[in-house]
Amino acid sequence: MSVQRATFGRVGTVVSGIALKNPVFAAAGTAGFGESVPYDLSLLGGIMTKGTSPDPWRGNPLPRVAEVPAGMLNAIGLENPGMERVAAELLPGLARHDLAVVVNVVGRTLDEYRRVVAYLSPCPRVDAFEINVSCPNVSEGGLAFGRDPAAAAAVVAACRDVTAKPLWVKLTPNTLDPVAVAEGVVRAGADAVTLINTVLGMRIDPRTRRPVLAAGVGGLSGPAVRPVAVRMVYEVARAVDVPVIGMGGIVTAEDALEFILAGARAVAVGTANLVDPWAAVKVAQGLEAFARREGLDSLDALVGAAGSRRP
Amino acid sequence: MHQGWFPVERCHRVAADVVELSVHAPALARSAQPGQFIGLGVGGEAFALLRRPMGVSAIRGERLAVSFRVAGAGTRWLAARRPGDPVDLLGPLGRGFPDLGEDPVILVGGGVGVARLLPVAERARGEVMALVGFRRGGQVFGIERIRRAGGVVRVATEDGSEGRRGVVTELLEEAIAEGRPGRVLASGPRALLRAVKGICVGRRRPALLALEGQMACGWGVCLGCSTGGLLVCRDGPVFEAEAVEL
Repeated sequence: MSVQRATFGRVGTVVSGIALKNPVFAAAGTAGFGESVPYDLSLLGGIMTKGTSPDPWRGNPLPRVAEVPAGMLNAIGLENPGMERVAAELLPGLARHDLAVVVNVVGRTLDEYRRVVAYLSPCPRVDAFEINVSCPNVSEGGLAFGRDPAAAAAVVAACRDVTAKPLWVKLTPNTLDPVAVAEGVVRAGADAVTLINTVLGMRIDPRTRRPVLAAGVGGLSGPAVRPVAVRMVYEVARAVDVPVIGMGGIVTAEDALEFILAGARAVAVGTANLVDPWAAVKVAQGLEAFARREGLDSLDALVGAAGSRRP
Repeated sequence: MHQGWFPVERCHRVAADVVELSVHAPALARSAQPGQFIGLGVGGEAFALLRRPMGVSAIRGERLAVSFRVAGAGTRWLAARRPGDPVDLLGPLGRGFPDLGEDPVILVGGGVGVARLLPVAERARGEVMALVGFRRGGQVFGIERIRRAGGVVRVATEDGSEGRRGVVTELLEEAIAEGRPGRVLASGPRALLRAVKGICVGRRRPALLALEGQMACGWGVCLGCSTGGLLVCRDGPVFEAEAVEL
Protein backbone atom coordinates (compact mmCIF):
# COMPACT_ATOMS: atom_id res chain seq x y z
CA MET A 1 0.00 0.00 0.00
CA SER A 2 1.49 3.37 -0.91
CA VAL A 3 0.01 6.66 0.14
CA GLN A 4 1.77 9.98 -0.23
CA ARG A 5 1.59 12.55 2.52
CA ALA A 6 0.70 15.10 -0.10
CA THR A 7 -2.58 13.27 -0.59
CA PHE A 8 -3.87 14.97 2.56
CA GLY A 9 -4.76 18.55 1.88
CA ARG A 10 -8.42 18.97 2.69
CA VAL A 11 -8.82 17.22 6.02
CA GLY A 12 -6.26 18.89 8.29
CA THR A 13 -7.48 20.24 11.61
CA VAL A 14 -6.27 21.54 14.95
CA VAL A 15 -6.97 20.06 18.39
CA SER A 16 -5.59 21.70 21.56
CA GLY A 17 -3.26 23.76 19.42
CA ILE A 18 -1.80 20.63 17.80
CA ALA A 19 -1.93 20.72 14.00
CA LEU A 20 -3.09 17.42 12.53
CA LYS A 21 -2.56 16.69 8.82
CA ASN A 22 -5.66 14.57 9.03
CA PRO A 23 -8.08 13.91 11.87
CA VAL A 24 -7.30 10.21 12.26
CA PHE A 25 -5.51 8.65 15.22
CA ALA A 26 -4.62 5.06 15.98
CA ALA A 27 -6.44 4.36 19.26
CA ALA A 28 -4.60 3.36 22.43
CA GLY A 29 -3.61 -0.29 22.63
CA THR A 30 -4.17 -1.00 18.94
CA ALA A 31 -0.85 0.17 17.50
CA GLY A 32 1.53 -0.06 20.47
CA PHE A 33 4.03 2.80 20.19
CA GLY A 34 4.03 2.42 16.44
CA GLU A 35 6.98 0.02 16.49
CA SER A 36 5.23 -2.74 14.52
CA VAL A 37 3.10 -0.57 12.25
CA PRO A 38 3.79 -1.61 8.64
CA TYR A 39 3.50 1.86 7.06
CA ASP A 40 4.98 5.32 7.50
CA LEU A 41 3.34 6.61 10.68
CA SER A 42 3.56 10.14 9.29
CA LEU A 43 0.50 9.25 7.22
CA LEU A 44 -1.62 9.43 10.38
CA GLY A 45 -2.84 12.50 12.19
CA GLY A 46 -1.60 10.95 15.41
CA ILE A 47 -1.21 7.98 17.66
CA MET A 48 -2.53 7.35 21.16
CA THR A 49 0.05 5.07 22.75
CA LYS A 50 -0.45 1.91 24.74
CA GLY A 51 -1.55 2.80 28.28
CA THR A 52 1.49 3.68 30.36
CA SER A 53 1.80 3.28 34.13
CA PRO A 54 4.64 4.39 36.46
CA ASP A 55 5.92 0.83 37.01
CA PRO A 56 5.72 -2.16 34.64
CA TRP A 57 2.37 -3.98 34.68
CA ARG A 58 2.15 -7.67 33.76
CA GLY A 59 -1.49 -7.60 32.70
CA ASN A 60 -4.12 -10.26 33.21
CA PRO A 61 -3.90 -14.05 32.85
CA LEU A 62 -4.87 -15.70 29.55
CA PRO A 63 -7.28 -15.96 27.78
CA ARG A 64 -7.37 -12.21 27.38
CA VAL A 65 -9.36 -11.96 24.16
CA ALA A 66 -12.60 -13.47 22.90
CA GLU A 67 -14.68 -13.03 19.82
CA VAL A 68 -18.24 -11.75 19.65
CA PRO A 69 -20.40 -10.92 16.63
CA ALA A 70 -19.01 -7.79 14.96
CA GLY A 71 -16.52 -7.21 17.71
CA MET A 72 -14.35 -8.60 20.44
CA LEU A 73 -13.92 -8.69 24.18
CA ASN A 74 -10.57 -7.98 25.76
CA ALA A 75 -9.19 -8.11 29.25
CA ILE A 76 -5.52 -7.43 28.57
CA GLY A 77 -5.12 -5.57 31.85
CA LEU A 78 -2.92 -2.76 30.49
CA GLU A 79 0.28 -4.78 30.24
CA ASN A 80 3.03 -2.24 29.67
CA PRO A 81 6.75 -1.82 30.47
CA GLY A 82 6.31 1.28 32.66
CA MET A 83 7.11 4.94 32.01
CA GLU A 84 10.90 4.69 32.24
CA ARG A 85 11.23 2.10 29.49
CA VAL A 86 8.55 3.88 27.50
CA ALA A 87 10.63 7.06 27.59
CA ALA A 88 13.96 5.33 26.96
CA GLU A 89 13.01 2.69 24.40
CA LEU A 90 9.63 3.37 22.81
CA LEU A 91 9.08 7.12 22.47
CA PRO A 92 12.40 7.69 20.62
CA GLY A 93 11.10 5.48 17.79
CA LEU A 94 8.31 7.98 17.24
CA ALA A 95 10.72 10.90 16.90
CA ARG A 96 11.40 10.10 13.23
CA HIS A 97 7.73 10.48 12.35
CA ASP A 98 5.63 13.54 11.79
CA LEU A 99 2.41 12.92 13.71
CA ALA A 100 0.85 13.88 17.02
CA VAL A 101 1.98 11.63 19.87
CA VAL A 102 -0.55 11.36 22.68
CA VAL A 103 0.57 9.24 25.62
CA ASN A 104 -2.25 7.24 27.19
CA VAL A 105 -1.79 7.36 30.97
CA VAL A 106 -3.04 4.74 33.43
CA GLY A 107 -2.80 4.41 37.19
CA ARG A 108 -4.24 2.68 40.22
CA THR A 109 -4.14 5.82 42.30
CA LEU A 110 -4.29 9.53 41.72
CA ASP A 111 -0.59 9.75 42.46
CA GLU A 112 0.26 7.13 39.83
CA TYR A 113 -1.43 9.17 37.11
CA ARG A 114 0.38 12.28 38.29
CA ARG A 115 3.76 10.51 38.33
CA VAL A 116 3.45 9.37 34.70
CA VAL A 117 2.42 12.81 33.48
CA ALA A 118 5.18 14.53 35.49
CA TYR A 119 7.83 12.09 34.25
CA LEU A 120 6.91 12.17 30.57
CA SER A 121 5.89 15.82 30.28
CA PRO A 122 9.46 17.03 29.53
CA CYS A 123 9.78 14.54 26.60
CA PRO A 124 9.79 16.70 23.47
CA ARG A 125 8.06 13.95 21.48
CA VAL A 126 4.99 13.98 23.73
CA ASP A 127 2.38 16.37 22.34
CA ALA A 128 -0.43 15.59 24.77
CA PHE A 129 -1.67 13.12 27.35
CA GLU A 130 -4.79 10.99 27.22
CA ILE A 131 -5.79 10.30 30.80
CA ASN A 132 -7.40 6.86 30.84
CA VAL A 133 -10.02 6.91 33.57
CA SER A 134 -12.07 4.27 31.80
CA CYS A 135 -10.26 0.95 31.46
CA PRO A 136 -12.58 -1.81 32.67
CA ASN A 137 -9.76 -4.35 33.01
CA VAL A 138 -7.87 -3.29 36.10
CA SER A 139 -9.11 -3.94 39.62
CA GLU A 140 -8.22 -0.53 41.01
CA GLY A 141 -8.17 2.86 39.37
CA GLY A 142 -9.25 3.06 35.77
CA LEU A 143 -12.99 2.78 35.56
CA ALA A 144 -13.46 3.53 39.26
CA PHE A 145 -12.34 7.10 38.52
CA GLY A 146 -14.15 7.42 35.23
CA ARG A 147 -17.63 6.64 36.53
CA ASP A 148 -17.68 9.41 39.09
CA PRO A 149 -17.50 13.04 37.93
CA ALA A 150 -15.74 14.20 41.11
CA ALA A 151 -13.17 11.40 41.09
CA ALA A 152 -12.44 11.90 37.38
CA ALA A 153 -12.04 15.61 37.97
CA ALA A 154 -9.63 14.95 40.82
CA VAL A 155 -7.37 12.87 38.53
CA VAL A 156 -7.35 15.64 35.94
CA ALA A 157 -6.63 18.31 38.54
CA ALA A 158 -3.70 16.27 39.88
CA CYS A 159 -2.25 15.91 36.38
CA ARG A 160 -2.95 19.56 35.54
CA ASP A 161 -0.62 20.58 38.38
CA VAL A 162 2.38 18.87 36.79
CA THR A 163 2.13 19.67 33.08
CA ALA A 164 1.39 22.52 30.74
CA LYS A 165 0.83 20.09 27.85
CA PRO A 166 -2.71 19.37 26.70
CA LEU A 167 -4.63 16.89 28.84
CA TRP A 168 -7.22 14.81 27.05
CA VAL A 169 -9.44 12.53 29.09
CA LYS A 170 -10.72 9.19 27.82
CA LEU A 171 -14.29 8.63 28.92
CA THR A 172 -16.16 5.43 29.63
CA PRO A 173 -19.56 4.40 28.31
CA ASN A 174 -20.05 2.38 31.51
CA THR A 175 -21.72 5.16 33.43
CA LEU A 176 -25.22 6.49 33.64
CA ASP A 177 -24.28 10.09 33.00
CA PRO A 178 -21.28 10.51 30.68
CA VAL A 179 -22.13 14.19 30.20
CA ALA A 180 -21.67 14.85 33.92
CA VAL A 181 -18.24 13.17 33.84
CA ALA A 182 -17.26 15.16 30.74
CA GLU A 183 -18.36 18.43 32.36
CA GLY A 184 -16.45 17.49 35.53
CA VAL A 185 -13.15 16.87 33.78
CA VAL A 186 -13.46 20.01 31.65
CA ARG A 187 -14.00 22.10 34.77
CA ALA A 188 -10.86 20.48 36.25
CA GLY A 189 -8.79 21.58 33.27
CA ALA A 190 -9.16 18.94 30.55
CA ASP A 191 -8.35 20.33 27.10
CA ALA A 192 -10.31 17.69 25.19
CA VAL A 193 -12.27 14.51 25.79
CA THR A 194 -11.87 11.24 23.90
CA LEU A 195 -14.62 8.64 23.81
CA ILE A 196 -15.56 5.87 24.04
CA ASN A 197 -13.47 3.30 25.85
CA THR A 198 -14.79 -0.28 25.75
CA VAL A 199 -18.21 -1.35 26.94
CA LEU A 200 -18.24 -3.87 29.82
CA GLY A 201 -19.16 -7.29 28.54
CA MET A 202 -18.88 -10.99 29.20
CA ARG A 203 -19.02 -14.37 27.50
CA ILE A 204 -19.56 -17.74 29.13
CA ASP A 205 -18.59 -21.09 27.59
CA PRO A 206 -21.53 -23.53 27.97
CA ARG A 207 -19.15 -26.49 27.78
CA THR A 208 -16.86 -25.44 30.59
CA ARG A 209 -19.60 -23.45 32.35
CA ARG A 210 -16.98 -20.79 33.03
CA PRO A 211 -16.36 -17.27 31.71
CA VAL A 212 -14.39 -17.30 28.46
CA LEU A 213 -11.99 -14.59 29.64
CA ALA A 214 -9.72 -15.48 32.56
CA ALA A 215 -10.57 -12.13 34.12
CA GLY A 216 -14.29 -12.92 33.89
CA VAL A 217 -15.49 -9.69 32.35
CA GLY A 218 -13.82 -7.56 29.72
CA GLY A 219 -14.33 -4.67 27.35
CA LEU A 220 -16.39 -4.91 24.18
CA SER A 221 -15.08 -3.11 21.12
CA GLY A 222 -15.45 -3.12 17.34
CA PRO A 223 -18.38 -2.28 15.09
CA ALA A 224 -20.76 -3.75 17.68
CA VAL A 225 -20.30 -0.66 19.89
CA ARG A 226 -20.36 2.01 17.18
CA PRO A 227 -23.96 3.23 17.64
CA VAL A 228 -23.35 3.55 21.38
CA ALA A 229 -20.21 5.57 20.71
CA VAL A 230 -21.85 7.87 18.13
CA ARG A 231 -24.70 8.57 20.53
CA MET A 232 -22.28 9.42 23.37
CA VAL A 233 -20.17 11.68 21.19
CA TYR A 234 -23.35 13.44 20.10
CA GLU A 235 -24.46 13.99 23.71
CA VAL A 236 -21.08 15.04 25.07
CA ALA A 237 -20.18 17.33 22.13
CA ARG A 238 -23.35 19.32 22.69
CA ALA A 239 -22.54 19.76 26.39
CA VAL A 240 -18.86 20.77 26.51
CA ASP A 241 -16.83 23.52 24.87
CA VAL A 242 -13.62 21.53 24.40
CA PRO A 243 -12.91 19.37 21.33
CA VAL A 244 -14.22 15.82 21.28
CA ILE A 245 -12.23 12.98 19.71
CA GLY A 246 -14.58 10.16 18.74
CA MET A 247 -13.88 6.45 18.61
CA GLY A 248 -15.68 3.15 18.88
CA GLY A 249 -15.94 0.62 16.07
CA ILE A 250 -14.67 2.82 13.23
CA VAL A 251 -13.67 0.67 10.24
CA THR A 252 -14.28 2.96 7.24
CA ALA A 253 -14.25 6.67 6.41
CA GLU A 254 -18.06 6.59 6.38
CA ASP A 255 -17.97 5.38 10.00
CA ALA A 256 -15.58 8.23 10.86
CA LEU A 257 -17.93 10.75 9.26
CA GLU A 258 -20.72 9.62 11.57
CA PHE A 259 -18.56 10.65 14.51
CA ILE A 260 -17.57 13.95 12.92
CA LEU A 261 -21.20 14.77 12.16
CA ALA A 262 -22.06 13.85 15.76
CA GLY A 263 -19.56 16.44 16.99
CA ALA A 264 -16.06 14.91 16.89
CA ARG A 265 -13.22 17.13 15.67
CA ALA A 266 -11.00 14.09 15.24
CA VAL A 267 -11.44 10.33 15.40
CA ALA A 268 -9.47 7.24 16.36
CA VAL A 269 -9.44 3.82 14.74
CA GLY A 270 -9.01 1.01 17.25
CA THR A 271 -10.10 -2.59 16.92
CA ALA A 272 -10.07 -2.36 13.12
CA ASN A 273 -6.26 -2.03 13.29
CA LEU A 274 -6.08 -5.50 14.80
CA VAL A 275 -7.82 -6.98 11.78
CA ASP A 276 -6.19 -4.78 9.14
CA PRO A 277 -2.94 -3.07 10.21
CA TRP A 278 -3.54 -0.43 7.51
CA ALA A 279 -7.08 0.37 8.68
CA ALA A 280 -6.33 3.82 10.14
CA VAL A 281 -4.53 5.01 6.99
CA LYS A 282 -7.39 3.74 4.86
CA VAL A 283 -9.83 5.79 6.96
CA ALA A 284 -7.65 8.91 6.57
CA GLN A 285 -7.41 8.36 2.82
CA GLY A 286 -11.16 7.79 2.61
CA LEU A 287 -11.88 11.07 4.42
CA GLU A 288 -9.64 12.95 1.98
CA ALA A 289 -11.41 11.29 -0.96
CA PHE A 290 -14.78 12.24 0.54
CA ALA A 291 -13.72 15.88 0.94
CA ARG A 292 -12.52 15.99 -2.65
CA ARG A 293 -15.73 14.42 -3.96
CA GLU A 294 -17.84 16.86 -1.97
CA GLY A 295 -15.72 19.86 -2.93
CA LEU A 296 -14.84 20.61 0.71
CA ASP A 297 -11.60 22.36 1.71
CA SER A 298 -12.00 21.23 5.32
CA LEU A 299 -14.14 18.89 7.34
CA ASP A 300 -14.52 21.45 10.12
CA ALA A 301 -17.90 22.62 8.83
CA LEU A 302 -19.21 19.09 9.29
CA VAL A 303 -18.25 18.84 12.95
CA GLY A 304 -21.49 18.45 14.86
CA ALA A 305 -23.57 19.17 11.76
CA ALA A 306 -26.00 16.37 12.61
CA GLY A 307 -27.51 18.45 15.38
CA SER A 308 -27.50 21.91 16.87
CA ARG A 309 -24.48 22.25 19.12
CA ARG A 310 -25.99 24.20 21.94
CA PRO A 311 -29.52 25.33 22.50
CA MET B 1 3.51 -8.38 6.00
CA HIS B 2 0.85 -8.11 3.31
CA GLN B 3 -2.93 -7.96 3.38
CA GLY B 4 -5.25 -8.69 0.51
CA TRP B 5 -7.83 -10.95 -1.10
CA PHE B 6 -6.44 -13.97 -2.90
CA PRO B 7 -8.15 -16.75 -4.87
CA VAL B 8 -8.51 -20.24 -3.44
CA GLU B 9 -6.84 -22.90 -5.58
CA ARG B 10 -7.95 -25.95 -3.68
CA CYS B 11 -9.75 -26.71 -0.45
CA HIS B 12 -9.94 -30.31 0.59
CA ARG B 13 -9.92 -32.68 3.52
CA VAL B 14 -6.53 -34.26 4.18
CA ALA B 15 -7.75 -36.29 7.18
CA ALA B 16 -10.97 -37.00 9.05
CA ASP B 17 -10.96 -33.57 10.70
CA VAL B 18 -8.26 -31.54 8.92
CA VAL B 19 -8.80 -29.31 5.90
CA GLU B 20 -6.03 -27.90 3.74
CA LEU B 21 -6.77 -24.57 2.04
CA SER B 22 -4.39 -23.67 -0.77
CA VAL B 23 -4.28 -20.10 -2.10
CA HIS B 24 -2.61 -18.34 -5.02
CA ALA B 25 -0.97 -15.50 -3.10
CA PRO B 26 2.40 -14.58 -4.65
CA ALA B 27 3.18 -11.69 -2.30
CA LEU B 28 2.75 -13.88 0.78
CA ALA B 29 4.15 -17.12 -0.63
CA ARG B 30 7.41 -15.52 -1.76
CA SER B 31 8.24 -14.22 1.73
CA ALA B 32 6.73 -16.97 3.91
CA GLN B 33 8.99 -19.23 5.96
CA PRO B 34 8.09 -22.56 7.56
CA GLY B 35 6.75 -21.96 11.07
CA GLN B 36 5.17 -18.59 10.23
CA PHE B 37 1.43 -18.09 10.20
CA ILE B 38 -1.31 -16.33 8.28
CA GLY B 39 -4.36 -14.45 9.60
CA LEU B 40 -7.43 -15.55 7.67
CA GLY B 41 -10.57 -13.44 7.60
CA VAL B 42 -13.84 -15.32 7.77
CA GLY B 43 -17.31 -14.39 6.61
CA GLY B 44 -20.71 -15.90 6.17
CA GLU B 45 -22.65 -17.24 9.14
CA ALA B 46 -19.75 -16.53 11.48
CA PHE B 47 -20.20 -12.74 11.07
CA ALA B 48 -16.77 -12.52 12.56
CA LEU B 49 -14.39 -9.60 12.88
CA LEU B 50 -11.18 -11.28 14.00
CA ARG B 51 -8.86 -13.27 11.81
CA ARG B 52 -8.03 -16.93 12.43
CA PRO B 53 -4.28 -17.43 12.94
CA MET B 54 -3.16 -20.55 11.07
CA GLY B 55 0.26 -22.05 10.51
CA VAL B 56 1.60 -22.30 6.99
CA SER B 57 1.42 -25.94 5.86
CA ALA B 58 2.86 -25.64 2.35
CA ILE B 59 4.90 -23.07 0.41
CA ARG B 60 5.22 -23.71 -3.32
CA GLY B 61 6.21 -20.88 -5.62
CA GLU B 62 3.34 -18.41 -5.72
CA ARG B 63 1.06 -20.66 -3.68
CA LEU B 64 0.78 -21.33 -0.01
CA ALA B 65 -1.51 -23.45 2.11
CA VAL B 66 -2.78 -23.51 5.65
CA SER B 67 -4.31 -26.52 7.38
CA PHE B 68 -6.84 -26.44 10.15
CA ARG B 69 -9.29 -28.44 12.20
CA VAL B 70 -12.92 -27.48 11.61
CA ALA B 71 -13.91 -26.30 15.08
CA GLY B 72 -16.62 -23.65 14.74
CA ALA B 73 -18.52 -21.38 12.40
CA GLY B 74 -15.41 -19.56 11.15
CA THR B 75 -13.43 -22.65 10.20
CA ARG B 76 -16.61 -24.21 8.76
CA TRP B 77 -16.95 -21.19 6.46
CA LEU B 78 -13.30 -21.47 5.40
CA ALA B 79 -13.67 -25.21 4.76
CA ALA B 80 -16.57 -24.47 2.38
CA ARG B 81 -14.46 -22.22 0.08
CA ARG B 82 -14.17 -23.45 -3.50
CA PRO B 83 -11.54 -22.83 -6.19
CA GLY B 84 -11.67 -19.21 -7.31
CA ASP B 85 -13.38 -17.93 -4.15
CA PRO B 86 -11.48 -14.97 -2.68
CA VAL B 87 -10.15 -15.16 0.88
CA ASP B 88 -8.77 -12.30 2.99
CA LEU B 89 -5.21 -12.99 4.15
CA LEU B 90 -2.75 -11.11 6.38
CA GLY B 91 0.79 -12.35 6.56
CA PRO B 92 3.24 -13.89 6.74
CA LEU B 93 3.22 -13.26 10.49
CA GLY B 94 5.67 -14.06 13.26
CA ARG B 95 9.09 -15.64 13.31
CA GLY B 96 9.30 -19.12 11.83
CA PHE B 97 11.88 -21.90 12.03
CA PRO B 98 15.44 -20.81 11.24
CA ASP B 99 17.17 -22.30 8.22
CA LEU B 100 19.07 -25.28 9.65
CA GLY B 101 21.24 -25.73 6.60
CA GLU B 102 22.36 -29.33 6.18
CA ASP B 103 21.93 -30.23 9.84
CA PRO B 104 19.76 -33.26 10.65
CA VAL B 105 16.42 -32.61 12.34
CA ILE B 106 13.88 -34.59 14.32
CA LEU B 107 10.36 -33.31 13.73
CA VAL B 108 7.79 -34.03 16.45
CA GLY B 109 4.18 -33.30 15.58
CA GLY B 110 0.83 -33.97 17.23
CA GLY B 111 -2.56 -33.83 15.51
CA VAL B 112 -3.18 -30.88 13.22
CA GLY B 113 0.14 -29.46 14.50
CA VAL B 114 1.87 -31.86 12.10
CA ALA B 115 0.83 -29.51 9.28
CA ARG B 116 3.30 -26.80 10.30
CA LEU B 117 6.20 -29.26 10.07
CA LEU B 118 5.48 -30.31 6.49
CA PRO B 119 7.13 -27.29 4.83
CA VAL B 120 10.15 -27.83 7.13
CA ALA B 121 10.49 -31.39 5.84
CA GLU B 122 10.11 -30.21 2.25
CA ARG B 123 12.77 -27.50 2.56
CA ALA B 124 15.29 -29.38 4.73
CA ARG B 125 18.64 -30.10 3.15
CA GLY B 126 19.80 -32.44 5.93
CA GLU B 127 18.37 -35.76 7.15
CA VAL B 128 14.80 -35.61 8.43
CA MET B 129 13.17 -37.96 10.90
CA ALA B 130 9.51 -37.17 11.53
CA LEU B 131 7.69 -38.52 14.57
CA VAL B 132 3.96 -37.90 14.34
CA GLY B 133 1.15 -38.73 16.76
CA PHE B 134 -2.63 -38.81 16.38
CA ARG B 135 -5.56 -40.06 18.44
CA ARG B 136 -6.97 -42.39 15.77
CA GLY B 137 -5.82 -43.81 12.43
CA GLY B 138 -8.36 -41.76 10.44
CA GLN B 139 -6.72 -38.55 11.60
CA VAL B 140 -3.29 -39.39 10.18
CA PHE B 141 -2.11 -37.04 7.44
CA GLY B 142 1.06 -35.59 5.97
CA ILE B 143 3.27 -38.67 6.14
CA GLU B 144 3.33 -39.20 2.36
CA ARG B 145 4.58 -35.65 1.88
CA ILE B 146 7.39 -36.19 4.35
CA ARG B 147 8.38 -39.48 2.72
CA ARG B 148 8.32 -37.93 -0.75
CA ALA B 149 10.67 -35.26 0.58
CA GLY B 150 13.04 -38.01 1.68
CA GLY B 151 12.18 -38.09 5.39
CA VAL B 152 11.86 -41.12 7.64
CA VAL B 153 8.44 -41.23 9.34
CA ARG B 154 7.33 -43.01 12.52
CA VAL B 155 3.66 -42.88 13.50
CA ALA B 156 1.94 -43.36 16.87
CA THR B 157 -1.81 -43.49 17.41
CA GLU B 158 -3.46 -43.64 20.80
CA ASP B 159 -5.89 -46.35 19.66
CA GLY B 160 -3.18 -48.33 17.88
CA SER B 161 -5.05 -48.36 14.57
CA GLU B 162 -2.03 -47.06 12.68
CA GLY B 163 1.64 -47.24 13.54
CA ARG B 164 2.64 -47.76 17.16
CA ARG B 165 -0.02 -47.71 19.92
CA GLY B 166 1.01 -44.88 22.18
CA VAL B 167 2.01 -41.24 22.14
CA VAL B 168 4.57 -39.43 20.04
CA THR B 169 6.83 -38.50 22.95
CA GLU B 170 7.61 -42.22 23.38
CA LEU B 171 8.89 -42.20 19.80
CA LEU B 172 11.05 -39.19 20.66
CA GLU B 173 12.53 -40.91 23.73
CA GLU B 174 13.39 -43.90 21.55
CA ALA B 175 14.93 -41.85 18.75
CA ILE B 176 17.15 -40.06 21.22
CA ALA B 177 18.08 -43.37 22.91
CA GLU B 178 19.03 -44.75 19.48
CA GLY B 179 21.46 -41.89 19.13
CA ARG B 180 19.52 -40.16 16.36
CA PRO B 181 21.21 -36.78 15.83
CA GLY B 182 19.67 -33.42 15.22
CA ARG B 183 17.75 -30.55 16.65
CA VAL B 184 14.14 -31.23 17.68
CA LEU B 185 11.41 -29.12 16.03
CA ALA B 186 7.99 -29.64 17.62
CA SER B 187 4.46 -28.50 16.83
CA GLY B 188 1.24 -29.59 18.50
CA PRO B 189 -0.91 -29.15 21.60
CA ARG B 190 0.57 -27.32 24.62
CA ALA B 191 0.81 -30.62 26.58
CA LEU B 192 2.92 -32.16 23.81
CA LEU B 193 5.24 -29.15 23.68
CA ARG B 194 5.62 -29.24 27.45
CA ALA B 195 6.58 -32.93 27.29
CA VAL B 196 9.03 -32.34 24.42
CA LYS B 197 10.60 -29.49 26.35
CA GLY B 198 10.98 -31.75 29.41
CA ILE B 199 12.65 -34.50 27.38
CA CYS B 200 14.98 -32.20 25.42
CA VAL B 201 16.04 -29.82 28.17
CA GLY B 202 16.85 -32.83 30.43
CA ARG B 203 19.09 -34.32 27.75
CA ARG B 204 20.61 -31.02 26.59
CA ARG B 205 19.09 -31.59 23.16
CA PRO B 206 18.38 -28.27 21.41
CA ALA B 207 14.69 -27.90 20.61
CA LEU B 208 12.46 -25.38 18.88
CA LEU B 209 8.79 -25.28 19.74
CA ALA B 210 6.04 -23.85 17.51
CA LEU B 211 3.35 -22.47 19.81
CA GLU B 212 -0.26 -21.62 19.22
CA GLY B 213 -1.86 -18.67 20.93
CA GLN B 214 -5.21 -16.99 21.20
CA MET B 215 -4.76 -13.58 19.66
CA ALA B 216 -6.83 -10.78 18.21
CA CYS B 217 -4.26 -9.19 15.89
CA GLY B 218 -1.32 -11.47 15.05
CA TRP B 219 1.07 -8.53 14.53
CA GLY B 220 2.16 -7.55 18.02
CA VAL B 221 -0.24 -4.90 19.22
CA CYS B 222 -3.20 -6.45 21.06
CA LEU B 223 -1.07 -8.32 23.66
CA GLY B 224 -3.69 -11.09 23.81
CA CYS B 225 -1.04 -13.80 23.37
CA SER B 226 1.53 -12.50 25.86
CA THR B 227 3.30 -15.32 27.69
CA GLY B 228 5.96 -14.46 30.25
CA GLY B 229 6.54 -11.10 28.59
CA LEU B 230 6.93 -12.64 25.11
CA LEU B 231 4.32 -12.40 22.40
CA VAL B 232 3.50 -15.65 20.61
CA CYS B 233 2.63 -13.66 17.48
CA ARG B 234 5.66 -11.37 17.26
CA ASP B 235 8.48 -12.99 19.26
CA GLY B 236 7.31 -16.47 18.12
CA PRO B 237 5.40 -18.56 17.29
CA VAL B 238 8.68 -20.55 17.15
CA PHE B 239 10.71 -20.34 20.35
CA GLU B 240 13.82 -22.00 21.74
CA ALA B 241 12.49 -24.52 24.28
CA GLU B 242 14.42 -23.01 27.21
CA ALA B 243 13.22 -19.49 26.39
CA VAL B 244 9.50 -20.05 26.78
CA GLU B 245 7.16 -20.74 29.71
CA LEU B 246 4.61 -23.41 28.89
